[in-house]
Amino acid sequence: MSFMKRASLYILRKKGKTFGIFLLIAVVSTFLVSCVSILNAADILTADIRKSIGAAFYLRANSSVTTKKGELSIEKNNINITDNDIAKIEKYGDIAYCNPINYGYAKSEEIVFIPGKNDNLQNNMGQVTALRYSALHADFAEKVISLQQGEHIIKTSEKAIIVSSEIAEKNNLSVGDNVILQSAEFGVENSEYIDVWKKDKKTVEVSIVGIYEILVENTSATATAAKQENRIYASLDVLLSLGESEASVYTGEVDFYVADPDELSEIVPKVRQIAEIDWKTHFIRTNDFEYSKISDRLKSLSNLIKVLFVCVSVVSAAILTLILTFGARSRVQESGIFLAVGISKKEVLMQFLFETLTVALTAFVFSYISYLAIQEGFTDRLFADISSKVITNAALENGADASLKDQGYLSLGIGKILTVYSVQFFVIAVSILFSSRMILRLKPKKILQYI
Amino acid sequence: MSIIKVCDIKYSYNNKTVLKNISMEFEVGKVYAVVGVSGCGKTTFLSLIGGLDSPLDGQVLFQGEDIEKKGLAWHRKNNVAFIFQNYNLIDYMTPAENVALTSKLPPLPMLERLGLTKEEAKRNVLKLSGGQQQRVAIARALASDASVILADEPTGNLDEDTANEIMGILKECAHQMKKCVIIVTHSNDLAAQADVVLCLKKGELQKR
Repeated sequence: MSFMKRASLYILRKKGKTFGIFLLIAVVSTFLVSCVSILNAADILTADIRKSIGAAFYLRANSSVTTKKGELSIEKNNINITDNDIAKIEKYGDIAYCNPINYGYAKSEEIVFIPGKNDNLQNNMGQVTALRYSALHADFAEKVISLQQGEHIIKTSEKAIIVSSEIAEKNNLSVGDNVILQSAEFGVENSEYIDVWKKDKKTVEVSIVGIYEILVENTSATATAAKQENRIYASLDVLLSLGESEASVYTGEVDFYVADPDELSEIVPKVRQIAEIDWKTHFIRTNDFEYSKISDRLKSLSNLIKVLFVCVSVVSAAILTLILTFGARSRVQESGIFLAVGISKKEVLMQFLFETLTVALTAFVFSYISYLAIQEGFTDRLFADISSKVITNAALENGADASLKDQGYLSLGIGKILTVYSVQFFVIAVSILFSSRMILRLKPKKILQYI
Repeated sequence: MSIIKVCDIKYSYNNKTVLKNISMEFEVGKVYAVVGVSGCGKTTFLSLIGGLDSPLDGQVLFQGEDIEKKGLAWHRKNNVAFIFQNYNLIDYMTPAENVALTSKLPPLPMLERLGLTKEEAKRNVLKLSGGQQQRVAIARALASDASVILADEPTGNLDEDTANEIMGILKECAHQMKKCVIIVTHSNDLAAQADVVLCLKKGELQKR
């Protein structure tokens, strides 16, 4: 009789013992696979949070302080960064996004801006923030304003603007409408707010791609052009068409977004070495979005999960080994009989291995099904809230204000699952070999004496 | 013609000599009974012949060849078959499957020959009576096609009538099937039915 037939008979006839082993292996397997998936989820989530948090550094202009007729005057300088400078900086590290910004003003015959202090027909204008990615601008990122309708401005947007819900309402505008903007420049002369644009007026027809709402109200009395409600976020080509900026030159500020906050400390010193940038008028501000505060907590959490996993694995392996060892030892008589009828030690061992590993394989299938059920049930509870706060790169590229959908944090790749089962398979095989070896090292006569 | 020959074998354990330079030949077609008081080394002697253990000194020859040469497992598988007092059947197998452990031939004819019905041959062995279990053990030994049958107190757990029946079967194995049957027993009645009675006393084996 072959060892496989003997093993099959044992599995079929010793149902209680077989079920016990099956249950033990199934529970331990489910436990281990779930632990690995949680560990894996923690790693992915940490990386996602890190990337979601990211970091940034801003190239900005200094302000110069002057005294005119005994009065202190603070004047903000312009930066002067070109596409060549940006290309150079982008080579210094893994820059996820670069967001150059130009500032200007615009009037429109089709738009009546929300009146501010001393508003009149001449100074009824809004500030234009022309940029590459509106979603990355501090006003949106820090939730001063929020996109209510439509889409954000992205790299490929052309002649696109986002206006406030107040402007849209007042002027009966909606997403998809086209309006004509006109060049303007805000200035103060004899304490009067006026349009100081001296050059020929230029116009550009733009399309409203989005409408934003103001979340943090600013109630201070300011000029019409300085009111948040009148601020227009536009694609870079809008100010270029209005003659308020030059191609490939950025005078407002340039923001660089780094995917991994840990890289910030490597990139910024290199940027400071660029000789073409006049560092007397430019400065760099870094922002790791509080990452440094939470990174230690993330690391501690990750380490804690790893320690827990190791403990669970060791305890599970020990319990499994002990029970399998006791199980094998209860089969001393059987081993003795097999040896007495001339079945070799190797064949007896093969039978024990075949039995347990067959049961183990069945238990693995069961544990995989259980794991899928656990994954289904727990992903929502554990990660739904977190994942909704993580913004994807895809969302940014598409201009949508979308959040991350279910990432399936608890789902494990087939490779990792097979690794867990293989390790268990190995532990079980070693346990069987170890416990059986204790018996099979004895001479058949000794074994039969124990009976 | 001798099939098994023990040459000057010695065995001791716990500093106590159990077998002292025993030499003996065993022939096919005969039933041998080894008798002696409890603990005199009868079972040890049987274990050495059957290759369950090795002597400290001396040789066991099967058809003139040292059994250690091809290995004790090979000897157990091909040359000898055991019958134990407590039957030693595999409890999760039927009688037919127990017999099939040692033979590739269909087990049913052998079991029927030893008095088991087809239905009994398919039951779990633990559901059979002691006598029936011992018949299964004998069937397993005979099915192995071994020339030597080694029986250690084969009737020790059986009533007198059943014991006589089992002894009859063993004698049949020797006389009709031309096997060499060596029985270890402390029963003088059983030993009296053997062709040759050997007495193990103070480590020495003598024909009675």
